[in-house]
Amino acid sequence: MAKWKSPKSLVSLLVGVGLIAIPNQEGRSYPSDGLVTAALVAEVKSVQPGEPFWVAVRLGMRDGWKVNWVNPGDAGLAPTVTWSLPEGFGVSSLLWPYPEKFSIPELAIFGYEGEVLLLAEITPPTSLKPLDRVTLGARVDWLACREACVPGGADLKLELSVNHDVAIADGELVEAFRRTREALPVTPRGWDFSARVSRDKISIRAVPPAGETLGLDQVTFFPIVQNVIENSSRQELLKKDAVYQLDIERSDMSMTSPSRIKGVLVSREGWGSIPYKALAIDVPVDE
Amino acid sequence: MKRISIVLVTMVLISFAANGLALAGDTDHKTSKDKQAKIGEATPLFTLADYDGKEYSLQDFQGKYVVLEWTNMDCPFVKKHYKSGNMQKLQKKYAQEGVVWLRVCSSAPGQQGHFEAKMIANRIKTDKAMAAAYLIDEKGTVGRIYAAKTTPHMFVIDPKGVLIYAGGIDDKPSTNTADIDGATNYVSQCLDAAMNGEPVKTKTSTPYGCAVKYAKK
Repeated sequence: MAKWKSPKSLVSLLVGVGLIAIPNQEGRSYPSDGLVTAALVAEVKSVQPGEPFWVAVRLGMRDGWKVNWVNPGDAGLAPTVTWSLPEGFGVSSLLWPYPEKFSIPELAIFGYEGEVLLLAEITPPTSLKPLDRVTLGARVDWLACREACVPGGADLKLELSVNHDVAIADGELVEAFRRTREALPVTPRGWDFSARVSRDKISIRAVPPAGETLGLDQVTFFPIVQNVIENSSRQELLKKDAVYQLDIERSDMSMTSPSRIKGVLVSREGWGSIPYKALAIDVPVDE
Repeated sequence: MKRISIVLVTMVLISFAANGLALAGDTDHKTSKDKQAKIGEATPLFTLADYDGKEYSLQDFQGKYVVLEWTNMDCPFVKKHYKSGNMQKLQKKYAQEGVVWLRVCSSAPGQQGHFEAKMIANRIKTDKAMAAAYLIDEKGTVGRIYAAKTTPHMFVIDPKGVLIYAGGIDDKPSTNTADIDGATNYVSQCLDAAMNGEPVKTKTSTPYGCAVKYAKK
């Protein structure tokens, strides 16, 4: 990749060229601002009346550029998606794969590098007629950051046919959906989580299911909302007998003590018999 | 023995001087908690030079309300509030009410937002910015004391030197100028309440913007 001399020259260059379209392998053009290429994709090629299916806003970032998670961390903005769907269509809320923590001096950013798919389940009406075609629309806005930040956005469209037979999307897309699902936080079964809050610390305790032997090494907690933890501080994992405890410095900006601890716990080594890396937790704080 | 005591006295004097000079020497470590600005407490004093080299001390403004605005003129969030004229409007309005508005730039040399004096002067002129000063904090010392995270990140200090607000400029995190109308501006909400002797409703909020481009340690 070519090295840009300075973020400034890059910004002015982008302002100069405006939004351009970069053709992909299928020859289709996806909107791109040169930093982020955006597409609305579906896991199916055709839809059936009343049968839910999955779509994704797919964002591909240029080398080194990042977009934020739902909680951006210390800076940035989470991408937003506004749907425009035909009448009678329903859509779930967005599902966000677990993020990475990017450390910069004094601060930490939660987000994605490379590529991310933000998933949503769409339910078409039962009244849908075969041989119809449906057009799904999504307005996506993002902030791409490397050293500098550049806001971007695109109006995305996806046309699907209505058919009695389900037609699965291309292998590459199916694989991208599969990878994304692996990175979605799951509700842990058999695990017992609890949380305590002191003046300057949040402690999350995790008791593995009985008989589970595992060696957690590095666990990172990502709170779903801002101002809960000191994002850039080190999170310390302690183990006593079979019980794990993750100690995290509280945010200086939190004026009130949280009553629940809600977010995502990520373990690079996974969680023993749970074949996922990210767990979704939402626990009341012990008195 | 005499020599040693002279050395000691000199060292003590140097350390006093260092303390007076805005907490120098803290750049190698994360600023210790007791030196951090905290809501409801007297803020640590600091001295910074503006882009022209003129020094400003927080101490000089005792008895006045002070607004600290962390800035980076190339950040799209900062541009949102300057292109729309929103920031200048606030700066002008509160200057008329005796508030001292200081912009602070903690961008390290070579990082976005770090400019030469002439460039800063030009930009201030083009933007018609109305702040009392544009202070250079390229080592990030003062930024770390306030835990300034984003540009903009806003702080309000009352006439007694107590920090009464820290957080976002308003409640609409975006780069879209259209969001300014209809947003609740926390800085004016805080100043208006405090100057009327009323309690400040929102003392902290989540700052939104670009990351402050601190010097690597």
